[in-house]
Amino acid sequence: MKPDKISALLEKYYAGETSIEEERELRMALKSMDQLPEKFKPDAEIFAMMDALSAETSDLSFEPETNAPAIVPLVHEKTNHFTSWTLRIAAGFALLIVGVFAGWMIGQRGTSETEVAELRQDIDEVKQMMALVQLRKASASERIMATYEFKKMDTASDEILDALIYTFNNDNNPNVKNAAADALYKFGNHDKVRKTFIDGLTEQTDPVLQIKLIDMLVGLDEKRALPKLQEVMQEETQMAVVKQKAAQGMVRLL
Amino acid sequence: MEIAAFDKEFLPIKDKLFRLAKTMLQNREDAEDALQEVFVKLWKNNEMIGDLKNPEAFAMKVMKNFCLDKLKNRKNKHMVEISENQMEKENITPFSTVSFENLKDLMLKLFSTLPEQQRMIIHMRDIEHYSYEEIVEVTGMNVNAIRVNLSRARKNVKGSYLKIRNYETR
Repeated sequence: MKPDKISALLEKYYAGETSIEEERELRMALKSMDQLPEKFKPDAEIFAMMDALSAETSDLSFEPETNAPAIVPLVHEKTNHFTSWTLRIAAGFALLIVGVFAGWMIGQRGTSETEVAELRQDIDEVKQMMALVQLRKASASERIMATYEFKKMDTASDEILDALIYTFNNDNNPNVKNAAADALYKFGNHDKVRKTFIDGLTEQTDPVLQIKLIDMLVGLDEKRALPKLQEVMQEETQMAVVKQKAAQGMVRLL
Repeated sequence: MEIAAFDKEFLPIKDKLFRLAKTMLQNREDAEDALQEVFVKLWKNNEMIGDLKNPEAFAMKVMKNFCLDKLKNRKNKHMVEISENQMEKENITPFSTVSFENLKDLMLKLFSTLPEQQRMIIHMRDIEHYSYEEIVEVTGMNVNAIRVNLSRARKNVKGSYLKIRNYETR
């Protein structure tokens, strides 16, 4: 290509008016010139840098997978509406009574701080009971809301932990499982929660949940997860992005 | 969408997604984290991906949005991006002696002086060689605005490069 044509194409190029084909020709012309005129050198160097960047690749190894694991379908489990509704009404009624009584007590002269604290504890217990009832609801959004209630709590009884663990392990909706995992993470100082997360690495099939579990176990510095992380990495049917995350998790825990 | 179909659709473009992240975020570790996050985001939306006309453009759009959010957070944390003056002060090796690896770094440094929109557009056109229609699909901008930004980006890159080059030869 003649220098005049190169100059004209460069002008078009810097005006943002060249076609893909013209840009390709321009690059080729600058590359193949025997004696590159000084005035074209900066442009040729910029194109060489662009070519170098175009060849950049990621180190993440995402090999194609075979025998993909099935993702859990969204199926609602059967719910005993009578039990859940009656319990819900009962719990609501109990909360109302405790609340009214607490208000009345606090309004009374001479009510000690200990009595107020006890009443607050009663209210918390009723709230927990309502959340436990809600965790058995038919609607996934209601079950997710219940997990949010647990997340607000500073401590959790064994009953609550067991209910959350049951939901995490058995709920048919991946979003509810995720929300249960978030709530459980708050109580990660309990050994049964940590063990649930470790077992979940190989038992859960949703890649999003598996990645969350890896992050949580790293966050808890749970070194007992290392053998299971190894298993995840070696599982042929595992999704590549999960394997990669497991490898990173192992590096951080080692 | 099954995992095998998902991988078939998106694994071939992982390097493109990675390069866009690297240009936007300016470092390899953040770009690899971004790639991983975007793959998870794509997987979360895998049910709707089967209906898309151009899954690659969709994936690039997800990556673009992810990077812009990340950059917004960085700005909130008062992180400073490299300016031209800083580049001049740094020891930049003369072009004739730089290795292939350093060529990439030099290009990234030049891109880092551009506003985010210009950086994104010059990357898509001059690194990935996307057509204007494809850039429209990823950015949502009109062709004229893309041409204007591209022209400014190219001129800015050349301007910055000439400053470094002249500084080297002084």
